[in-house]
Order: sequence, then C-alpha cells, then structure tokens
Amino acid sequence: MTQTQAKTQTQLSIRVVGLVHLYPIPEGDVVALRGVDLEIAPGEVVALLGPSGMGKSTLLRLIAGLFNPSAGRIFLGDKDISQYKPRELAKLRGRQVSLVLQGAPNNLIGYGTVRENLIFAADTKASRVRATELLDTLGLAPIRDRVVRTLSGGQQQMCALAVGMVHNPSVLLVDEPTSQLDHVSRDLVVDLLTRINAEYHTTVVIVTHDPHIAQAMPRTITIRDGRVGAEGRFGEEFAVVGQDGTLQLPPHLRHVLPPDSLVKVTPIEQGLELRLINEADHG
Amino acid sequence: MITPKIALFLRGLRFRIGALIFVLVAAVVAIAGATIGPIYLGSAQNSVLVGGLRYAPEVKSGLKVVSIQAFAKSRLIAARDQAPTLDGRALFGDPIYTAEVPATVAATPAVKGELLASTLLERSDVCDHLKLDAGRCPTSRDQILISQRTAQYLGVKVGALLTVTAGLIARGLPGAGVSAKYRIVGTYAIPDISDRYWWDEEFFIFGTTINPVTLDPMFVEPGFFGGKASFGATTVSGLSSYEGVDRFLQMSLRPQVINIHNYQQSEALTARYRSQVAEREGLSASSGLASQINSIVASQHSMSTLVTVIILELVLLGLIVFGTLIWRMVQSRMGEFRLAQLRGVRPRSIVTRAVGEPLVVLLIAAPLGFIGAYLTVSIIGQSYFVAGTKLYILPTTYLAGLAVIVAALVVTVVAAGTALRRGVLEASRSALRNRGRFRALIDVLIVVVAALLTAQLVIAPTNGNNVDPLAGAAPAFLGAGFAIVVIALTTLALRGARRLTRKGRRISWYLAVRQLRARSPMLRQIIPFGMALALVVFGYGAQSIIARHRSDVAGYEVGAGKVFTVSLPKNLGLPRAVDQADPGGHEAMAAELYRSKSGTTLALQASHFQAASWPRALDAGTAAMVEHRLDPLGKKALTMNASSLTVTANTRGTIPAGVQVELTISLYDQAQATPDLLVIPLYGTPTTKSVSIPCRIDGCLLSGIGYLAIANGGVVNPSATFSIEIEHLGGVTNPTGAGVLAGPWRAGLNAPVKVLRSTHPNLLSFTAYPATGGSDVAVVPASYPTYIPAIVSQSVKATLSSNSVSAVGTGVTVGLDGNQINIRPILTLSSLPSVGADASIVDLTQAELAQDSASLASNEIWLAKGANPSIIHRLQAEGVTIDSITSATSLAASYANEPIGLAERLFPIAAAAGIIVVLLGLAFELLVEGRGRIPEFAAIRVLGLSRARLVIGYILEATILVVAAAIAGVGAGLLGARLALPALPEIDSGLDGLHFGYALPVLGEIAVVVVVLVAAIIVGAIAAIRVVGRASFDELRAGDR
Repeated sequence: MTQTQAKTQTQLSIRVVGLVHLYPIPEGDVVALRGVDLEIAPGEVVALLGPSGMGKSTLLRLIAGLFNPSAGRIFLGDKDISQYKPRELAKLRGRQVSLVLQGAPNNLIGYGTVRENLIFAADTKASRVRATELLDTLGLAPIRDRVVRTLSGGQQQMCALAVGMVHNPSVLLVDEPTSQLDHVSRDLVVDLLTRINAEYHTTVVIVTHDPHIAQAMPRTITIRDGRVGAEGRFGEEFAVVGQDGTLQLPPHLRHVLPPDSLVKVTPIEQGLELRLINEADHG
Repeated sequence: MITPKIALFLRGLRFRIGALIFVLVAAVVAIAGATIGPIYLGSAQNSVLVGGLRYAPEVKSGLKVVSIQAFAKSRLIAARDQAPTLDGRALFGDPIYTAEVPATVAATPAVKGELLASTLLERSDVCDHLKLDAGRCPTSRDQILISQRTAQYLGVKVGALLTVTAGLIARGLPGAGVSAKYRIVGTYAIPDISDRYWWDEEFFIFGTTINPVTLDPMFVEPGFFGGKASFGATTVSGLSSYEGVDRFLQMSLRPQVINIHNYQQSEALTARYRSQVAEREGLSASSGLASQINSIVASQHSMSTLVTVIILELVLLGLIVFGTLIWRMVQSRMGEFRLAQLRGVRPRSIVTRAVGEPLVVLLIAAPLGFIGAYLTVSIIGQSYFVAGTKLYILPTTYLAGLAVIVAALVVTVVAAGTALRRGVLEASRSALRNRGRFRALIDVLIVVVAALLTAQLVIAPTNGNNVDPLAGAAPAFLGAGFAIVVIALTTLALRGARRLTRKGRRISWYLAVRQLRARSPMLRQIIPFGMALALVVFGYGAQSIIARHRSDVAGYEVGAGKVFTVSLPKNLGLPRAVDQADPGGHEAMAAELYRSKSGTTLALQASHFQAASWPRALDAGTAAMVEHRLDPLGKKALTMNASSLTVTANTRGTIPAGVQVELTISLYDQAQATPDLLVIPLYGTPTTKSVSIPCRIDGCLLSGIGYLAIANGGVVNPSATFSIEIEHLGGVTNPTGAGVLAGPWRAGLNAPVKVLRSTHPNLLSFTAYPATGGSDVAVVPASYPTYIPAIVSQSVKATLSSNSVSAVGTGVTVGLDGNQINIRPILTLSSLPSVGADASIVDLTQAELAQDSASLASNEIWLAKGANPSIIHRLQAEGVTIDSITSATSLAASYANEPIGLAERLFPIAAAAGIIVVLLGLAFELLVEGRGRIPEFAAIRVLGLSRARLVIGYILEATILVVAAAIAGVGAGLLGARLALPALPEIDSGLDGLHFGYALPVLGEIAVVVVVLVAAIIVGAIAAIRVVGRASFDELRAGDR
C-alpha cells in the first residue's frame, strides 16, 4: 500500500463507556477498571498516564480486542466491540487495531531479521508490500537484515512499531514504548510515533509513565484507581468529572480534602466551590 | 531465491535445532516402533512358512511323479523339466529318480530251501546316502550292493555271486523271469530312514520269519534301468525287458521359493502341472504341498492376533509419547503464535506455520524410522527366524508409519488450534476449568477401560490356541489405568510432603516437592512411563515363564535333559553299564522302551530316577517320591556276586515212578536278554551242583526257582505231590545282606505251589505238583511284588480291571518281551514323560524279572539336566555306543520357533522400544520444562543456592516422577501378568494334566525395573545438569530464548 493509500485508511475514533473489568483469580477477583469513560477522536495521539497497577495496560488490551470487558462498552468508530465474539475480535486485531506489547522483544521473533519479522506479520500480498515500504519509511532499511536479537533497545522498539504497522491499522496502541531506553532512543521512538500519526493519520494511544512522553503528547489521560482521574492538554492537567458526577482530586491536593471529609459544594461561575466543613462549627 | 518467509522458517529450525533433533529421534523411534511390528509379523509368518516347509516330510511337501507304463523314463524327465515355477523360480528341485523291479534271489547254502524276495533298486546318488560296511558301489551292470544283514543272513560276503531273477516272476505271475548273476561288490548299513532322501518310503523291510523271506533292496549301478538291463535281451510273452519296472521321480520342494506373498499360487500351479503335464505324459503326480501350506498358514492365526495386539500397544505408547513431544514443541512456540495472532495473521496461516517444522522432522524421520525397523528385524531375524528367511514387508507396514506421521500432524494441528483458542493472553478461568474437565474425563475413561479389562480377564479367561486380544493388550491399558490412580495419589503425597519439608533443612527436597506440586502437568509423564514399565514387567515375565514352560514341557516330552538311544555289545547289560558309569545315580538312568500295537511300556531304572524330568506341575510328588513308589522295595532283586551258582537241593515225598524231577533256576541275563534257565537234576538225596554263570560280569538277576517234572510218555498222576528242599543257594546276594534262604519266599503269581518251611531256617521248601511241572517263576523271594507298580496313562487305566483287594486296581500290560506283565497303577496321568498317552512306566529291574523271553525293547540312557558332560565318556568307556540323541533343549528351542513362540518374542522387543520412547519423552519434557524455568533457577542462584543443590532438586523431581511411574508400572505389569498370561496360548503339548505355575521371576523383574529406573534417573540428571548449567546470571536479563 502506498502512502497515498495509507492516508485514505479509515480513521477510527475510540469511545469507552462505563468500562469495568475484573481479573478472576483463586484468591478473589481483582478489579482492574472501575468504570472508565473516555473518547479519543480519529487521528488523535493520546498518552495514558498513571502509576503502575491502575489499569492502563488492561484498558489498552480491551481496546485492542484481546478479550471482552466484564462490563461497559467499547466503540471503535461506531462499532461496539465489547460483545464481539473471539472470531470477530481476531479479525479486528492487527488489521484495524494493532497493539505493541510492553518490552520490544515481546513483539519480535528474536532469531529473525528485521525484514523477516515484518514479513512474519504480513500474511497478505498487500501487507507484504507494505512491510517492505515500512522499512524505508520508518528508517529501518539500514538494519533490515540484522537479527533482531543483536539490535539495541531503541532499534528493537522501532522494529516493534514497524511490525505493529504492517497491516496499516486505524488504531495503534503502544504499551510503555520507552521503558528501559536511554533518552536518545526514547526521543527516536517518540519521534517515530509522531511521524506515524502524521503520515498515516493513525490514532495512536500510548501507555506510559514517562513524563517526557506526556509532555510531548498533545493530550494525556491519567488513569487512577481504575478510572479516568485527569486529562492533560497542552501541558496543563485538568480533573475530569465522571459520568456519575464523581471527581478525582489531583494527588497533590488530596491533603486539602482528605478522604471522608465533609465538603460544602457551592456553585460559582463556571464551576463549583468546595469548602471543607469543620464539625465543630456546626456542633 | 529464498524469500523472507523461508529464511525465517530456516532460521527457526536452526534456533530450535536441539529440540527438533530430539523430536526427530523420537519420531524415528516412534515410526520404527510402529513399523517393526508389521515387518516382524510378515517375516515371522514367512519364517514359519519356510521353516514348516523345510522341515516337513518330503512326502508331504514334495512332488512325486510316477510312471504307469513302460518306457517312461524319458517322460519322467520331460515332466521334471516342466515342473512348476513360482515367481520365475523352480518350485521343486533336487530330483531323485528311482526305478525298481521286484526280484527273487536264489537260495544260498546258508538258507537252503528258503524263498527269498528282494528288489533291484536304482536310485539317484544312492551311494552318497548309504554307509558302506564293506566294498564299494556298483559300477557295472553285473554288480550289486546288498545290505549287511542280508549278507549275514545269506551267509555271503563281498565278491560272492548271487543269482537274481527279476521281472514278471517276482510278481507271482507264472512264466519265466529273467535271471542273471550279480557279483556283490559291497555291503551297506541300514540308513536312517527318517532322512529326507528316503521320502518315508519303506525300502528297507527285512523279515526272515515270514514267507517269502524279505531281504533288503539290492542296489544296482546308476543308469541300470536306463540302458539295457542286465536281464538281457530275452523277453517274456513279447514284453520288453523293462516290463515291471516301477519308475518314479521325487522332487524336493525348494522352500525358500514360497513366501507368504505367493503361497496361494502354489496349489493352482501343482494342480495345473498334474492335469496338463503329468497326465499328458501318461504319468501320475501327487503332492501334499497345498495341505501342508494350509496347515502352516492356519497355525499362524494366533500369532497374527497376538503380534497385532503387541504392535497396537507399542503404537499407542509411541503415539502418546511422541504426541506429547509434538504438543510440547508446539507449545514452546506459543510466543510466536501469539505474536501472529496479535498481528492479525489468520488462524489457518498460523496452523500452517505450526505444522511446518514437525512436517520437516517427519519427512526426515520416516525413511530413517523405516530403515531402523527393517535393520532391527533383520538383526533379530538372525536368531529368531529360520535360516534363510527373507524379511517380508507387509503392506500394513507403510500404513503403520503413515499413521504415526498423520497422528503427529493431527496433534500439531490440534495443539496449535488449542493454543489459538486459548486466546492471545492466558486462558480464562472457564477455559482452564474446561480443560481440566476434559482431562478428568479422559482419565476416568482410561481407568474404567482398565477396570473392565481386568474384570473380563478375571471372569472369562480363555485358554487354548485362540489368543485373547485383551490378554495381549492388558499391560498397556492396565499401565495407563494404574498410572492415573498413582498420579492422584502422588498429588496427595506431595501435599503431605509439603508439610514435611517445610521446616526441614533439605532445600533440594523443599524445592522438588513444591515445584512438582505447582506443575501438575509434569505428573502426566507417569502415564507413558507407567505403561512402558508395565510392558517391561509383563514382557520380561511372560518371556521367562513361557520359556520355563517350554523347557518343562520339552523336558517332559523327551523324558530327561537328553535321551540317548544306545546299542550295546553282547555281554553288556544296560543297567549295569549305567551303574558303573554313574554310581551315584543322579546323572544317568537306564531305560528300555517297547512300543507295540497293544501299548507302550517304558521301563526305567528307578534307582536312578533323579535323571528323569519329573515336573512338580504334576502334583504327584517329587522325583524321589515317585522313585520310591515305582520301586518301593528298593534294590531287592537277587543278583549274582560270584561267577558260579552253587545249589544243594533234594526232593522229599513220593515221586511218582518214572518221573524225573529237575530243579530250575531262572536267571535273567540282562546282556543276553534271554533268561538263563539252569536245570539241576534231583535224585532224592541232597545234590550239590555248581554251575558257572557267565553273566557275572554283566549281572544276572535271580528271577525265580521252579521245577521240571519229566515223565516219559505220559502225564503224571495229578494227585502225586512231593516237596523240594533247597538247603543252600550260594553265589547269590540278597540285598538285605542276610543269607539268601533266610529271607521269606513265596509262591509266584498263580503258581500252583506252596512254600513250606522246615525246622531248619536255612532250608527253602516248597511243594510241587507234577502235572505240568513249573519251570516258570514258581517260587520267588517274598519281597518280589505280586504286581509291578506302574505309572499309567488314562487310556491304560481305563482298560485295567479293579481288584477288590487293592483300591487302585490291577491289570496287565505288555512287558519288554511282548508278553503280558501284571501291574498295579500307582499314579494315573493324562500323558507320560517321553511316551505320551497309552503307555505305562515301570521299574526296569522288576520288568526284567518278569520277563519270560528275549527283550524286544530298545535301549536308552536318560541324562539328567545338568549332568556332567564326562558321563558320556564314562558310558562309552563301559562299551555303550550312542546311536542318536534327543535333547530337551533342542525341542524347547524348536517350540520357541513355532508361531506363538515368535509372537511372544516380540514382547521384550516392544518393551525395550517402549522404554526408549518414554525415556526420550521424559528427557524432552525435563529439558523443555527446565528451559522455561531457567530464569527462575538463575534467580534462585542469585539468592545464594548453589548450582549443585539446584541440580539435585531437579533430579529429585525426575526421581519422584519415575518412582511413581514404577509403582504404577510394576503394579500393572504384575497384575497383567497374573491375569493375562494364563489366557495367552502356549505350545500345544497335549499335556492337559500338567499345571504350570505362573510365578514371575522376582529377582529378574526387580533387576529389570531397577535398570530402567536408573536409566530414567540418569536421563533426569543429564537434563538437570544441562538446564541448571545454563541458568547463569546472564539469564536474568530479559530476552528471547
């Protein structure tokens, strides 16, 4: 597929409504997502931030169609994929939605060359042509015949991203692409992701806890305690009011209104005023 | 040009070369194991067919063409040249041409007045098959070769002339025959007519007591009947001089021409030959080949069934192990398949990629496995099959190999499909639960099948020659069933072991128990290992027991370890010769065998009975007990101890006038086989007579004392009685050591005498009735039995009458001299050692004492198993000549070459192949499992545990697995052997009364199991060292492995 054709690939939006997911384990189910609501426009680049264990990777995998959520909806474009059967999800995977797993080696066949890895993922004639183009487009031509295991971390990550793009997906989901990379490699990866979005108009969602990536992305979504806790745009972070009206306080302000605090909510112009109530005052 | 896809495929092969080599070896063994069976079966069937035909009597397997008119030799030759061919090779060969003419021989001075009949006989290569006592073979028309006994009878020697009249007159037709004089140029010994050359034809019939006297054939020079016969040109009634010549052509079968592929054509070929060739030439042709073949092929049915069952067990085991290897190999590529799934590669493509590597392995393994199977059977065939057997590959061989390949590919597809169904990430709880349920269902099914099989074997065991397939399949199914139970028990045991090792200081045990508990799929290795061990225990036990049975049966059928047919020179007594050669009586035993239409009598030297093969299976007591029952009184016969017999005797009472009384002493001279009757005239006053006894050297038995009353011209008054007193009997030994006359004496059976005692204890007196005069055993020592104890067959027992005095009954049977003897059965068996059914066994001494005339029995010496080989030299030093040897070992070996024996020989081969397969599977499992745990091992090493402890821990895991498998396998093998072995057919010996035990060779089984366990633990150790050795600190980094 040529770049022109790539530009005409259908762009998909992502909309998640009330997403809940539990992991069943013998000791008792673990709630990974407690009701996530978010929207990502077609062709947008978004970074998902948050501490470890908050559900970011789970959210990514659900959007990638690896499995069905416990509750809630996931829309890719106008299609609700949350109730898709495994066969339908399999059709989705890699073609419309592509997931690049955390750790570049987990996305690659270590004993194969860069070119062979790209071809491995391509099982149609069109994708095989595209694979060859991607080598040039993404600057991997000089290392096309090198065995992946011998590449540096950054090179491996770039290779992994290229593999993820073989089928020209509408959505590219990337999990921690810069972990364990130095800043030079990190910048290269970030630059590549930006280029992918710019050239192929692919909707890109990146899970990271690297603040440098967050700063480089036009929009960030922070996941906390299984919910969307905040959103950042143009370098500034904002709290997000959930569908049920809940609001998460930014962590650095939690000490102002600690848990179980009684708060008086007063509407003000374009907002609300929250004032802590001292029980003694109303004694 | 290699595309990137092919390049990646090749790179993947190289990356996984270690595992693939493993799988390749397993595939080769699995395919070899699957194909060994059909190749073995086809070759075994071939061996049975070729061997059966090779050892079949010529008369049954060859072709005989007979001329029915004169001048047929040319026609015979024409017929010979058109003998049937099979697959382009002559079916019959080695033609023997025979022509014979009945003839009469003019009487010689030695046999004046006798009418002598013989045969002029020409036969191809006859002198190569005759042993000449003197002279040479005839080389011209006026020469003949006669038998040694004919020469003796006629009183002629080499060089003498015989007048022979051949042709019509010998047929009894009136008219002149053609006479000619023939010079005797040589004499021959009577050959062994069982030699195939003689074709069971009764050429050598020699009878001097019949009319006309029949002499052995007289052999003429080769070509005698082809050219002008020595009858001369004279013809009788216008017929040619060749009238009356019987010609026939006998052609041996070439057994190696026939195999199981082409045998069915042989009947049509010989039938066509008969109808088209023989009859056209005016000849008749006959062959028993077709019925021989059919009989041999029919005898293979049980073998085929049993071999098929064993093959299926081995294939099942191989598929389980090989299938597991393939499954594990596919699973080891799970990362790649997940990547492919993640990238949206279609499931069909993923499965195709999964099949690629196993397919390459299988394509390489298939020819190697097949060649391996072929070579294995070829090597085995050297010792198992009849010499010259060609390996035969049944068409099912290819199917068996293909089945393994197809099964492996199916497993690959299923494994890949299962991996895909499990999803890109780990399977959900429900998927895990479903998988667990499916496995539990399979386990229950296996246990149920094993239980049903056990029940069937217990409730309805089959006997006889039809093999019960379930009996042959028992080891594998029971092994699987036991293994599943053991897996459950092992899981429980590990739970308990966790507690025990919690506070212990043995870190290796701590790790081993927990790792196994956490990795329960590894316990599944117990199933194939248990099955293989069950096969080993069963196979080894079966082989040992069946070999033991065969040895016992062969020993029983031969009678002893070896039986020699011997001939003795004059003046040599067989029992004495044996006594001299074997004073201890444990190595050799004299025996005399007389076969007749009215029954068979075997007389054994009871004092040497230990040399007989007397199995405990008879439940008739030990050999010592039987010996005592056969001869309860021991050596009670009176024997000579001097070279002369001195008798002082007298008559008392009124002897009728004109009657001469003579005392008779019956001595049985064993060497001469003729009772010696010593006659001592009595004159009314004590008469002492001393007689030289020539049998002092060889031994004589005093068989009795009687009398002769000789009256000139008339019968003595029956009312007259008198008594005979014997005051002294010198030169005779009483075995009790006392004086001969001091012991009690009694009247012989039915003897019309009464034994009296006078006041003198040294006197023996008995009354005599003169009417007939008894020279038979009239008075005998009291110790002489009235009836000879005998072991009889059921058919003999049925003919005996019951005796009101003796509960066991008495009766008569034929003695060694053909006359009747009185016997009392002490034991009845369905079949007797050596002589089979319709026979009696008596003590030799007692039988000789009962003899009235010359023995007609053949002499044998029975050698005990384990007898010192020097006994043969000692016997020969006594003058014994060994004519032939029958060996129990050879007979047992021949049984092992029968169809069922060949089938049962496959058991240990299958067991060994099974063990190799499961050891490979175990090694692969440990290596693959360990490989995945390398980071874990590395991390443990970081914590401070030494490499040695880690290795020991991993070895302990393997040890727990193999010990659990051994418990399952040994239990299943023992139970399978107990239940299934009696249901498997053995040699058809007809010895229904023998109950052979099925006790397994405990020490041998223990040794075999220990060897297998040690091998398995060594495999575990190698895997552990290899795996842990790679667990270096470098492995702690993330990376592709």
